[in-house]
This record gives sequence, structure tokens and C-alpha cells, in this order.
Amino acid sequence: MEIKLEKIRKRFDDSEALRSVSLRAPDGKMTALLGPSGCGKTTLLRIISGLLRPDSGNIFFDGKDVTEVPPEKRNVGMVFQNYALFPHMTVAQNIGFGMLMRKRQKKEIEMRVKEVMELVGLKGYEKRKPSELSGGEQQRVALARAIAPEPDILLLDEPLSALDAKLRISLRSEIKRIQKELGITAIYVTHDREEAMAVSDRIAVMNRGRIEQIGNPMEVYRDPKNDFVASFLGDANLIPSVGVGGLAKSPFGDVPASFDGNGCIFFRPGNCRISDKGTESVIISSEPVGDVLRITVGLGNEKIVLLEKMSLFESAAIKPGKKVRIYVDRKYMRFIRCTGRATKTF
Amino acid sequence: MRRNYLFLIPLSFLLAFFAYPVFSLLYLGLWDGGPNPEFMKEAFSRYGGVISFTVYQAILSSLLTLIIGLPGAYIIGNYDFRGKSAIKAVSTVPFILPSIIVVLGFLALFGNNGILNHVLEPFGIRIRILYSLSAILLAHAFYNFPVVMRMVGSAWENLDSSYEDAAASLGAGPIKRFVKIVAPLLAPSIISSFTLVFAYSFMSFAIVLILGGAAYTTIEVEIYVLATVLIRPHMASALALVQIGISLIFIWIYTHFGRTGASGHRIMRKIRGLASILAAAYSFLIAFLIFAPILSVAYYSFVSEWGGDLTFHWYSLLFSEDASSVIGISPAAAIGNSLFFAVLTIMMTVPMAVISSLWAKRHGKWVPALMLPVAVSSVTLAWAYIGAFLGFSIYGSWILIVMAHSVIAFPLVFRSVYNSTSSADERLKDAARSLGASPLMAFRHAELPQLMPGIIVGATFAFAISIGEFGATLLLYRPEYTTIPIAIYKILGTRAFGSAAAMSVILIIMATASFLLIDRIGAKQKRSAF
Amino acid sequence: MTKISGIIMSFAVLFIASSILLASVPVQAEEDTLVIYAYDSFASWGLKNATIPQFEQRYNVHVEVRTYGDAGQVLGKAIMEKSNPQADVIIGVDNSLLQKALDNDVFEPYTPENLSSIPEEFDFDPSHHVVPFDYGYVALVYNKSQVQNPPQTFDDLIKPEWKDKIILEDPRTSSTGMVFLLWSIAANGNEFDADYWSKLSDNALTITSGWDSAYEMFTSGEAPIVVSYATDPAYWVEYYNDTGYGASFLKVDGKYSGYLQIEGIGLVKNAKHPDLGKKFIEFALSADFQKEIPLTNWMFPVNPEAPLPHSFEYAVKPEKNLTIPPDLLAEKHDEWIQDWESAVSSDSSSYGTPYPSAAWSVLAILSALLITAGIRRK
Repeated sequence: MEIKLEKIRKRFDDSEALRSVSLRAPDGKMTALLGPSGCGKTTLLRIISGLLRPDSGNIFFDGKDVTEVPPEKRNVGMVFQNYALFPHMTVAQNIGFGMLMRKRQKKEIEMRVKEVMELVGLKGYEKRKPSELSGGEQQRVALARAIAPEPDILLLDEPLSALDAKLRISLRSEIKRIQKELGITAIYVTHDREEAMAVSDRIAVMNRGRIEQIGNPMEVYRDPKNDFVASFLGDANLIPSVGVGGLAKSPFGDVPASFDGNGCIFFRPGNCRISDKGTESVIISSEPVGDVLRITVGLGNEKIVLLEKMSLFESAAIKPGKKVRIYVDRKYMRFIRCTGRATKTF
Repeated sequence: MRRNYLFLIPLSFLLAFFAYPVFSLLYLGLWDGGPNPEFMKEAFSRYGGVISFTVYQAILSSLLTLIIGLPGAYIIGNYDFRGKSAIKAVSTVPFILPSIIVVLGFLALFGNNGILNHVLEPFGIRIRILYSLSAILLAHAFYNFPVVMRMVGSAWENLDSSYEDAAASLGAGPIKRFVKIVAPLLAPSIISSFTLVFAYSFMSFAIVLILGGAAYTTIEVEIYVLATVLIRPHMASALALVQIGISLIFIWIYTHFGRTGASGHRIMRKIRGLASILAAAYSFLIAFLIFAPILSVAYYSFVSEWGGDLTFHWYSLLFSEDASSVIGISPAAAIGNSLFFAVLTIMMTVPMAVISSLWAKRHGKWVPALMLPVAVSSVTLAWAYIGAFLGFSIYGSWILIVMAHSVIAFPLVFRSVYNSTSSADERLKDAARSLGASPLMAFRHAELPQLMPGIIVGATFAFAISIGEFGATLLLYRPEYTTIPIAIYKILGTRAFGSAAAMSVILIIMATASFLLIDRIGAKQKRSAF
Repeated sequence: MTKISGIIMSFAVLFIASSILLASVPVQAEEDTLVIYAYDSFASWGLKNATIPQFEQRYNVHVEVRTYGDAGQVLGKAIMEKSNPQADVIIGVDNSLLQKALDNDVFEPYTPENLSSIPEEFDFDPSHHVVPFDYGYVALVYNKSQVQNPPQTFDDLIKPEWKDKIILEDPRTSSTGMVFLLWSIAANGNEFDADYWSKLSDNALTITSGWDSAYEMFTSGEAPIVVSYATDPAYWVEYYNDTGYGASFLKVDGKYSGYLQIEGIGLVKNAKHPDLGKKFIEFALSADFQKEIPLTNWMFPVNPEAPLPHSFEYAVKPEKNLTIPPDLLAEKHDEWIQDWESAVSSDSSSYGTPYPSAAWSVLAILSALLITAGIRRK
């Protein structure tokens, strides 16, 4: 089921949560809404679910306008950040709730509940109460409950944020697997870029009530539209520059520019190397990260971060104040709009 | 370690002034030379009707109270609006009002000579609800609806909205959401408030005694009559035992089913449209219920009769010789007595409640035992005191009155302080100790301030209960220990309703001033804590 | 330190303030304080103030009067305290309460010297545990402007023409009510008629718990007839110059008869101040005390030397005195009260049949619900 949002606006008291947001989430794919807190992603999700009414704009499920349809009639499955498992019901009752509401037969419900519980890996937990489960188990029940009534759409609101790192990583692939297996259109809200990248087919990067960019993870990572997207998706080097006649100057050569005017040269630290044919810079600091050295250098007025795999012996040579030549291949550089809203990573 | 020894203080208090007298009731009710089941048999045969009537009116009262209080709970639980905290504060008023004033309020408002009848007279309407079951039910509902409104309202406020959201996303419409999600999750608070209101209505004394008339007696009134009029101590004790038995059932229900769930975040809605009109109407209703009786009493204290001129006649009469004859002592002395007993009750119950709370943190399963005095009504307790302490020199002294007040107030004070221990942070005490504080200093500077909110609420309850206490004091007092409620009752017995009203106004002012004072002391403590 | 001492300071202030107020009650040495138990109206109607100061002055002592409701409740308190008597003298034990007092051995027999000046017919306790000090009758008091022909017999009271026109009192909490009940029993050959009382309680406007509330309702016009004292018309003449109130008795065997209530005073057994007590009893029978009775207690003094006020011409006395033999009274008193309770509460109140079934079934349902809920939870 394809989801289409057209010009959704929402205002809360004195602030605009969503400023004319339009979005298309393709059928059968997992679209992530990625952004910092307060950007409006949860609001947008709640509007899609029907729990919140937009001030203006429309929502279409497979072309049908569902803007006025109440949540209980939209057939969406929702997984909440705090799981919202009904504390007074057992796991089985929780999972079967959706079908109970749709007036299915008892036998049918029982079978489906069993089926779904196996799918999420919770066989045998039927009679337990939510309070008896661990965080990861609760999350899986929440997921099971959402998909049991075979919804057209699955909405997930930061489903893993309450769990610890290791669990998050293992569970997110579970979620991805299940979504693919069911072939269900899903929207996944998160502020964690790694999670978004790992889980989704498309990412919509949001900031302050607007969608900054939509694309598949690689696209958004490699070709960010502006400095915000660039820095949100990962460590980004941003050097101010000006586009003139289709080109913008960078310390490492000219870069094709799609627009004229002020902007930034962008490249990832991973694409910057120490190289003899590079530009001279001064080492400011360095720190080991895993088996890689993260070096901060100064070039003119700018700070640049690069990553180099180095042996202990080599890294001893990296001292503050020393001069070193660095180079970025042009194919990794982009000229993008600089709005000043970049999230500072260094 | 020392805490365990300290606990001996409240323990011996409860043993001496609660357990021992109550067990002596067992003796009187079941023993006469040898074991004698006749009294209990008669309790169920002759007084079977009284017993079932008492249960019946208590259930009806509780249902009526639920009906009045639930809309308020709904409003509190779902809407945010200006004046919300004011309504919450105001709604506590009936609960801490002495029962005798509730009675007076009803007489002033609904009585044959009351304000409503005067107002409706030109329309030819006559209200006669006094001395009937309706009067009793209405007075109980008025007295108790804040319990429902606050308990259920607070539970609703803390009911995480995401449950209803999840249910909606799973296909549940508004009605299904309420029936399958909200109601079951609110059930503990509804059951708690219902059983609490039931207990109060079941053991209610002043209201039934005065507003009921001869035909409507409850167990409590019957115990009083058997003890003081018919002089049948064995029967009085037998009935007392039945009463305790029934209230124990309801206490069990309260402890087992009244457990509150985890609290979550609830999204409040703004009130608008039809909802705001209904909410305003409801607010007017409860404002009327809360203030009309009190204002009626105040009215009658300042006029010589309905529609008459403003006068201070009743107040000056209060302080005359005649009044002293009627009451038994001068009104000033009665006021002094009430204050004296109330302050002593605070001084007794609060430290004991603190000690008990700290002990109970480690021995949680004994908490229900500490709450047991709730099962024994004030008249029953006083009657038990008479039986137990007659031979002792303490009999007839004011000490017994203070002990009775303290036993009656203790469960509520304990509960208030105990509730704040659960949110108190142990680590603050540990931090203080690691910084070199002695156990006593650590307690004073780290633990005590955290308990302050509970202590303030508890002290307020202790004061309110003592100053309004009627049933027990009526059985235990001597003329020189007359308290304000008893003075009001005596004045009411003559025809000077105005004087009774004047005395009530004085009581209301004193009580309010004291609550504010207690609150202020507590606030200072909280502020200067760290 | 300051915070805790702040609390202590505030309490100390409150404590001191209340103690000062408390101190306005003079505390006399126990040694020469005579303690008298009496019913409430002894104090509130003024007999106490008219007589006690005299006694205190005469003998240079302090007297403490403690009132605990009506006469029955006062006796009840004394019985409760039997093993450790707090009172020296008890005022108010009348001929209906006598046997109860004797059975519980509350009093010490004492024959005051001036008892000889009291007519023998009033000496209701030959053993002199209690001696008489005033007497009176309960009658139907009515508003003459509304009632020209008051009820003549007990049977009249249950007729439709008097529906909701009579106010009664509860015999358990009001001595007026008690005397009226005894009157009805005495008029019925010393038998309690449950059927009659069931009809009477329905026909009456209400049964109040005390004389005060009954009289309040009467004077505010709720009903034109109230069971009250035969001396009432005198009261209205004395203070309001109003002759509009009448009192009448009910005919038994053609004669207007009334139940004679004699109130007594007695010395408490093991009293702390027996000599003072004896002096007080003598004082109570003396003319100085007796002459105060009519206009405060609204009863008749037993001492024939005590003058009656002019307004007492309007007080009525029956043609025939009815009483119940003391031993029968003692034997049947509690039973009659309990029969009265059952008779009075048949349809619309506590003791009747609708409630047991309704209440028990509700309780049963509730318990069933709770038990199933409890099982489900497990």
C-alpha cells in the first residue's frame, strides 16, 4: 500500500511542528523518518496513523483519501516507543487484541497469534504478563501485536530507543527481516542514523518541520543536499566556497557546482587521505578510534578531519604542529548548500 | 538497628490503646462467665435488619458517591484548564470537614426551615428529605465524593495515553477503548475509592444519628444506644464485633484489589465546545455541593432568622452564661480543648508515623497490620476503651481522649508519610553518612526533608480528624473536656440553631487557619532542607 | 538546628495558647468538689443555675454538674462506672428507670430528714435508694387555633383525620418519648400493642430523637400536635402571655388519664463525697430548691410548701393517674423497647424485611464477583 502525504501542516500552540510536508512512501518498502528531536517526525507519524489530525493537507493510502478517517478504521499497525503493551492483558491477549476488535473468531485469533509469536521468536510466552518480560521481549510483543491483524501499513515510533546498544543492533535486523518477509509498507521513525541506514529502503531526513531530503541510504549519505543532511548522516567536512559558472573552488581542486552562489565543499573524513600530492596542512590533534587514527588538521581557517589506518609506529609521527599533506579525490567531493544548520561533529 | 528499637514506641502505643481494648470487646461479646454465643446469635437475629440496612445504605451511598465523583475524575484525568489546581484543592474541603458541620450544613440547606425551602416557598414547592434515607445518602455522598474524584482522577491523570493510542491503532473505537482499556486500568482506583467510601458510610455516626431520625439506625448508632441508653454491654460488644468483621472484609478488598498500576505520561486535552459546557455545569454542581451547606451555616450564624437582619447576636450569645450552661463549659474553653487535643494528636501521631514508615520500608508486609485501626469505628473504639480502662486511673481523663484521637488518626497519618518514603531516595542518606554525618544528622538533613510532603499531609489529617472527632469523644468526655463538635451537638439540642451555626463557623475558620499554618511550616521545611 | 526548632516553636505556641484557653476552666481541688450527674435540661433549662450557687455559698463548696443526655443515658453512664464511681449524686432517675438502677446497685439508700414533708404518694422507692424531687405528666400539646377538638383516646391517634399531624419522640433517646410509651402500655392494661404502634408510627408525622427537635418542629408549624409536658401551656403564658396552646390527656375507661412520672435524686454507692451528697439531697427537697422547679424544669415540685407561679393555672393534671408496677416495669422494660423498635420500623426502615433480602443479595453478588476476579488474577 503506497502512502502519499500532500502538504501536511500542523501547528501546536505557538510553534509550527510541520510546515507543508509532502512525502511518498512506496509500497512494500521501509521508509525511515530521520531527524533530531523536535523535527516533527513523530508528529508526522501520528498524523499518518490518524491519532493526530493535520491542520491542512491530505493523506492518501493507495490513492484513497483517508485524512478524515479515524485511526481505528485505518488498518495501520503501530509500534510505540514505550511499547504500550496493555498491562492487564497477557501476551496472547495483547497480540490478539487487533483481531478481537475486528471481530474474528476465537479459533482464528488463536491460530494467528501462535503464527505471529513464532515469527517474532516468542513461542511459549502466551500466558505471561508484560510486566514479566524483558525490554527486548516486550518490544517483540509490541511488534507481534501490530502485525497480527494484518495491517496495510506498519508504523514504528523509535521502537528500539529504550534498549541497550547490542540489543538494538540485533533487533533491528529482526524488524527488517519481518518487514521484508511480510512485504508490508513501513515507516520507521528514529533519530539514530545508523539505525536508519541499516533498516530502511528510503530515508527522509527531517529538520524543523520540513523534509530536507529523501532518497535511499547511499544517496543521502553520499549526495546530501545541504550541510544539515550531510552532517546528520555522518561526520562531514564542510568548507565554505562559492559556485561560479558551474564550478566551485576547493583546496583539492575544482568541484562541479549545480548552482551559483555561496555553499560548502563537502566530503567525508573517510575519503580524505594523507598524500604527497595533496595540500599542505598543520596537524592539530589526533586520537585513535578502533584501529584507525582520527586526525584533525588545520587548513587555512578551516578544520578538517580525516581517518587513516596507521600502525603504532606510524601514528607516533603524527604530532600537533607537524605539517602534513592531505588529499581528497574529486569524485568524493560535492558542492552543497550551506545553511548553517549543520550539526557540529567536531 | 536503632530503628528497630524505636519502633517499639508506636508498637506499644498500638498494643496498649488499640489491640488491648479491642480484644476486651471480644471478651465482652462472646463471654459471660463462660463462652456464650447468645449475644452473637441475637446480633444476627434481632439486629439482622439493622446490619443489612447498614450495609445497604453504605452500598447505596458509595454508588451515589461514585456517580457524583466520576465525572469529576474524568475531567481531571483528561483536560487541562485554568483553575484545575484550584478545583482539586477545593474538592478536599468536604473530606476534612467535621461530620457535625456536614450535618448542620444539611439542616441549614435542606431542613424544613432551611434555605432551599425558604427560597422555593413562593413557588409552592416543599422539600422534605430530612430524617429519611435520602438525607443520609446525600450527606454521605457530599462528604465523600472528593475521595472518588481525587483517587480516580489522579489515576486517570497518570494513565499513559499510549494505551488508548495503541488500542485505536488496533481498531478499537472510543467506546471499546473505554471498556477494554481505560476501565480495567482504572479499576484499582475505582475499587479503592469505593471501598473507602463504603467504610466511611458504613461507620458513619453523626450523620445517621442526627439526620436519620428514629427509624433509620445503623450498627454504629445501635452500638451507641445499646451502650449508653439500653445499657446492654454484651450486645453492644457483639454488634461491635460484627461491625469489625464486615469492615475487615472491605479492608481486605481494598488492600488486594486497590493496587495502583505504573504511572505514565498522559496527553491532556484542551477543554472546548460541548465538553466545556458540561464541565462548567458539573463544576457548578460540585461547587454548590461543597459550598452551599457551609455558606448556609454561615448565613444562619449572621441572621436572626430567614430574611432577617444581619446580627452578631448568635455570636455574643455563644459567649454568655447561658451558653456555658448548655455546653457545660465556656465556649472559649471548648475551643481551647479542641486545639489542645488536636495539637497533641499531631505530636503523637506524626513522630510515630515517621518511625513506623521507616521501619515498614524494610518490613513491608506488616503495613496492612498498621492500618487495622481503620476497621474499628470511633464509637466502637471508645466503647472498647470504657470496658478496658474503667478500673484504671486513666479513666475519665483527657489522656484517653487524645489516645482515641491518635489511634483513629494514625492509619491516615502513617499512610501519608509511608507513601512519601517510596519516593524518597536512600542514597541521599548514604551520601550524608559518607560525608561524616551521624545517623541522627543524616536522618534530619537527608531523609526528613524528603518525607516532609507526606508529613505535612499527615499532620493536616491528624489535625482535621482530631478537631472534628465526634463519636469517640462523645462517649469518653467529661464536661470540662467538651470539644467544639460536642458543644455544637449540645447547642443543636436546644433550639438555638443560630448559635450552633456560629460555633460551626468558628470551627471552620480555626480548621482552615490551622491547615494553612501546617502547610506553611511544611513549606519552610521543604525550602530550607538543602 | 533552626528548622526543627521552628517546628517545635510553632507547636509550643499552639500548645501554650490552647492551654491558656483551657485554663479559663477553673480547676478546683478534688477534695471539696461535689460531683452531680444530671440530664441535659437540668443545666440548659436553668434549674442548675437557680440552685447550685445557693448550695455552694451555703456550704462553701464547689459543685460540678455533669450532664450526659437524657436521664436514661445519665443512668447508663453511672452503671458503666459502677466499679469506679465518678459521681456523688445523680439527679433524674424516675419511676421508669428505678428498677434498672436498683438492679445495677448504683445507689446507696439514704432517707433525708425532710422527706417527711413530702406526700407519701410520691415516694416511689420505698427502699429510699432514690427519693422524689419533682413530678409531671406527658400530654398531647396542641395549637388551639389549628386544633379545636384534640384526640380523646389512644385509638383516635391512629385515625386518618390525624394523619401527619402528631409529632412523637423516640423512647430510647428521649424521656418524653419513654413516658409516652409507658402511658400507652399502661392504658392498654400493661401490655404492649405492636399492631397499634405500627399504625401509630405510620400515622404520626415523624418520631424524633429528642424533645427539642420535636418541639422545634411543632413551633415552626410542621404539625399541630406534639407529645410534650402538661406544663407547656403555662410556659407560653409565662413568657409570651400566649394562651393559644393547650394540653390534653387521653381517656381510659371514660376518664382523662395520664402517666405519672416522678423524678428522683439519689446518693451514689461508694461516692467520694457522701456527706456533701447527703446535704445536697436534703437541699433538693427543701423549699428553696423546690420553688425554682416550676419555671426551670417545668415540672411540679413534690414539696407542697413550694409556691406555684401564677401561670401554672394553665398547666393541666389528669383525672386519673396511671402507673406501671415497678417489678413489672423492671421485667418488661427492655422487651418493650425492643418490641417498640420492631413495631415502629416495619415498612420503611432498619428492622424490616425488605432490607435483608436486598442487602444480602447485593453482598452475595459482590462477593461472588470479587472471588471470581480474585481467581482470574491468579
